[in-house]
Amino acid sequence: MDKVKVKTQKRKSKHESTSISENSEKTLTKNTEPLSTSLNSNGSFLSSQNEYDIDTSDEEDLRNTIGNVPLKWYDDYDHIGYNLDGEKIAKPADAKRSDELDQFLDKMENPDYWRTVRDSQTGGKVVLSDEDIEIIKRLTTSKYANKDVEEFDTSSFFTQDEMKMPLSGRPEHKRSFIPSNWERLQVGKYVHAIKMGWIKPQIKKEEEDDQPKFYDIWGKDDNDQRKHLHHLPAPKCPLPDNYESYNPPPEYLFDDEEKEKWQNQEPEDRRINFMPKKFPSLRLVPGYEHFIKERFERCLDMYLAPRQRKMRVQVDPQDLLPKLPKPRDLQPFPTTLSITFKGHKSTITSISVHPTGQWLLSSSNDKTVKCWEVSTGRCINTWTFESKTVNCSWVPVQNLCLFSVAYDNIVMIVNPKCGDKVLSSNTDSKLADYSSLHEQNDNSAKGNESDDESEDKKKSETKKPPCTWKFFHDKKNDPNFKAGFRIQLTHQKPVKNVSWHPKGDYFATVLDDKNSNSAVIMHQLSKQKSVRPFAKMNGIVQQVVFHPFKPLLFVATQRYVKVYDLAKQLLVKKLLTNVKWVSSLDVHPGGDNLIIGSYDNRLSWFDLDLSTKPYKTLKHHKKAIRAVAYHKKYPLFASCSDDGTAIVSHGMVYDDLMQNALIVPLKILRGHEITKSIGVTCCKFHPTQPWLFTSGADKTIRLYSN
Amino acid sequence: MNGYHTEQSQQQLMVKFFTKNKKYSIADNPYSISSSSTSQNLNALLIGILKSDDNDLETDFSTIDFDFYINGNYLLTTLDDLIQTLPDIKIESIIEIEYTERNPAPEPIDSVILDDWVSSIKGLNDLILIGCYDTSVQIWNKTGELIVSLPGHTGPVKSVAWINESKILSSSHDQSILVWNLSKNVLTKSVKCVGHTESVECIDINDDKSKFISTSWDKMIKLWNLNEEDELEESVITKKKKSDVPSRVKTPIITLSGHSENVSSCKWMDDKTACTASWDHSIRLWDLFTGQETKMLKSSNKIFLSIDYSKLNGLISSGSNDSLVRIYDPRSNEGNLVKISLSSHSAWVSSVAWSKSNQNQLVTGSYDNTAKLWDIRNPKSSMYDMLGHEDKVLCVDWSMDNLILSGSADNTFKMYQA
Repeated sequence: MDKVKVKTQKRKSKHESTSISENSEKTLTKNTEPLSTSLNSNGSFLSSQNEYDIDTSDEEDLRNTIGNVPLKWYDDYDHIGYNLDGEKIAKPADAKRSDELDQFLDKMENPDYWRTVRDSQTGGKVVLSDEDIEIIKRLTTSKYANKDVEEFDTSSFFTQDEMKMPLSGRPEHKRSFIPSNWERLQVGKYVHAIKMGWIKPQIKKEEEDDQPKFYDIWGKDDNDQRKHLHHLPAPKCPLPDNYESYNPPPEYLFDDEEKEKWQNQEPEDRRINFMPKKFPSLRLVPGYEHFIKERFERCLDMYLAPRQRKMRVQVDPQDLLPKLPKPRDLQPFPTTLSITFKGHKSTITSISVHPTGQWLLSSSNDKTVKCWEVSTGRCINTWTFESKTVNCSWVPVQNLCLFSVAYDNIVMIVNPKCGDKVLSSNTDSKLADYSSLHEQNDNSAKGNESDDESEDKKKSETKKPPCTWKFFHDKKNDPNFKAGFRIQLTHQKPVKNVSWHPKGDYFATVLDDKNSNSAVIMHQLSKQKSVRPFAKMNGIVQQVVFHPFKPLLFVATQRYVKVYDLAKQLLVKKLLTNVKWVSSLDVHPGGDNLIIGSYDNRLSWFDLDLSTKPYKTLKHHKKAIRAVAYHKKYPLFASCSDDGTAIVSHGMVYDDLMQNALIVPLKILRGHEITKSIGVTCCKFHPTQPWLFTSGADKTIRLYSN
Repeated sequence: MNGYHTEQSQQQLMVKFFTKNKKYSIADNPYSISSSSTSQNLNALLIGILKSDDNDLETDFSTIDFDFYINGNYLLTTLDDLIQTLPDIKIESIIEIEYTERNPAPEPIDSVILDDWVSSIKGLNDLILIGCYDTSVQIWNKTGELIVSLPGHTGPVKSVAWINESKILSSSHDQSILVWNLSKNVLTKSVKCVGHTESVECIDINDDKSKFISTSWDKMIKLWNLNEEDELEESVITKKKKSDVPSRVKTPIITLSGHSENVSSCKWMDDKTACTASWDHSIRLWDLFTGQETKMLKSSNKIFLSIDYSKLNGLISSGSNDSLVRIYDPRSNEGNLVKISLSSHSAWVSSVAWSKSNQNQLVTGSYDNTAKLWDIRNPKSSMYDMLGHEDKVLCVDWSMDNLILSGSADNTFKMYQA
């Protein structure tokens, strides 16, 4: 609200007061009074409150004598003009530009802020009274300033609404029926102007599609589809063709050759399902014989046709695979063939690496066991046996210099006399102690036999001792002893496999026995005793492995892996392998994971903490897996197969129980030739280096190094 | 800049030739030659210059070949290719090319067939000492005649070393080291050094022949004394052996432990330090006075099969179970420990030997049946390949300047005229 309006309002009110009545004198004074008071209260230049000092004439604020000039000229001065005496009229203190903060504070604190306006003539503030505001309100709503004045009735006299009856019954004038002469002249002018080219008539926009619009019955119903994205129209009937005419052009009719071809074709292969025929007139066309059939097929089409669009999520199968690290980030692992150990004359059945990694042992079908120097591939020693050796393994401790060989029914414990000589002789003396102990036991057992006979009558009748121990002695200048043979354990059935306890005292042999109860025999070297640990065992035992540090025994049968607690003599777990025939088994050095290989090409990783089902199954081999092995130090495992390859994989087991093992296949190692459909028979890791030894039916052992 | 080069393959370069060999020195004139010149072109040019200079026509230049180097980098293909790999060389300025007479290819002199694998070979003054897998130590002369064969070990001999012409050392799988005394090729005395508990893989004698070190599969390094006086004090005469050779026993001065695997190779660096290489992927330097390990050089998961130290350039060359020959600088502490990698073998490098006269040359033997002669200025390919062995080369030796020896698992050792 600015000052000018207030002034006009003042003027109007005066005008009214003069024109309306005497009573209005009071109204005038009444109206002007608050305004003047307010002016007085603010105008600091007024010395007294005398109402006669207030000039109420139309002259604008004559106290300021600057004349009719814009007041903003005085914006930069301290005064706003000059009074009648020529003295400067000082700006009121609050008229000087107050900053926004002051304004804000004023707004907050002053309840009359909203009705305070600034008098531009004096620069002072004016608080409008209620009456002033009433006037302003009335003026802004286009009413008389004085509320006492009655307003006119503004209801409209003429309306645009058409009346049902004319107001007057006067007939229409003639000129409303004849063309307007003036209009004619005007049009004539325009026509002349267009003819002369002064006015250019607006050119009509040519319609883009001049062609007549036809419905394209052969076209695709794109528009429909766009409207209903998920709507699939019913499949259309094929449109009638010339063939189907009752009177087709002669070229459509079949000749003999075509006819024969059509008849010889299978109904599905025919291009058209009827033979075009020519009739002289439509009248003579018989009923269509296939009509019902065709209708039925049409119904079938409609019924079977997909009428609904199913949103299928487009997923790249590669994205679903977990992100595996790249093999080159997982080095070291064996990559290249480094040394080939040649010397055997037949298929190598098993290999074993010495715990120090210096020596390699191999057993072969040529009835020999050979000891090799790993670093050069040199055969250091050869032992010959009476029969094909099926297994050889070092005693897995470094304080005994012994290995075991299995052939036929026999497990032979041999001292190879390689490596530390002191160790070798210590081993011999230890075995000599065992031997003397054994003889004592034998004698005492014979003595006890008579006592225990009554108790063990049944047992002794049914069960023979699982195996007999025979020691070779130094004394007799025995050639067997010279060759290094120390103990011979003779079983009742052919031995398939020998596995040592990590502490090197116990070892278990697996016999090729149909009666699986006696297939596993446990031996103890220090007590020279053998027992059958299992009273009942189902399935053919393939391999047994000791847990690296707990008293557990893993027994791989044809379909299951059973975990026995040897201390409590309990079956702890039975792992379901889901393979047809387990071939081999190895336990992770951490003891919580194991891998099995199977003759149906599969390698399964079991996490004993997770479940009894495989954590992961790898099917990378194309033929039966013969052996699997874990590395003792590096997170590696390998499998070898009859397809002539060995596959090295990364198998990281984390200490964190929440994190499952990471398995990444790394490298396919080739080199072995397949002989008589047998490829690689055995694989073993070097104990300290990331190297893999593989033995094959091609009579060689190969060392793959990083 | 590279694009500029390839565009103008026929660019002319200003070059100067210089050599350290006075015999073939030429005037210090710059020549303008094409940047696509190969070493054959340069050779022809140089021989032309030499012929024109040599008025007397005394020397026959047709048989001489030269090798060319720019800032110590071997010219293998064209000048252009080499210059692009060298940021310091500016094509605008005169390029100085060093040339040296190319060593003639090592000529095979003889190949001698033995009874068993040759595990170790050492030459001294036209005599060749051989350690054999049939447990014998043999001495042959340069013409391929067996002088003496010494049976004494009970396991395959792994390493041999000359003390002097009448005194040798040998170590074996049988965990012992034997010191043999020969007079007129008759074995007079042998001393047995016992202490190792596994096969002794390597022995090396220091320069003044007073001490030697041995390394073994038992992870230990042992330092032994060779002086007779000390020996007499220490040794205890044991009962006579079957071989009727008086045998005495000696024990080590110090045993150094630090390696966690088989210590496969050792070498004296000077009179008090030695370096050893092991299957635990490290090379360690030892102060033999204090018995402390002074430095360790680690490789990435590759075992060391052999090392050699060159007194001429102070570098250690090593053979590993990959096909690379890595050359380490034991003096540098920062940056890449491997100074140069020589690559062209295709199997384990079983043996390395520096030249005793040329600081840039070494010879290596590998399980890929070849021995190779290298110039370390040219790490991409070997100078010469010595083919002929039919099985793994187990040992090479270049202790005689003019004779390279290689022993193999095909039961032969070969001699090459270097």
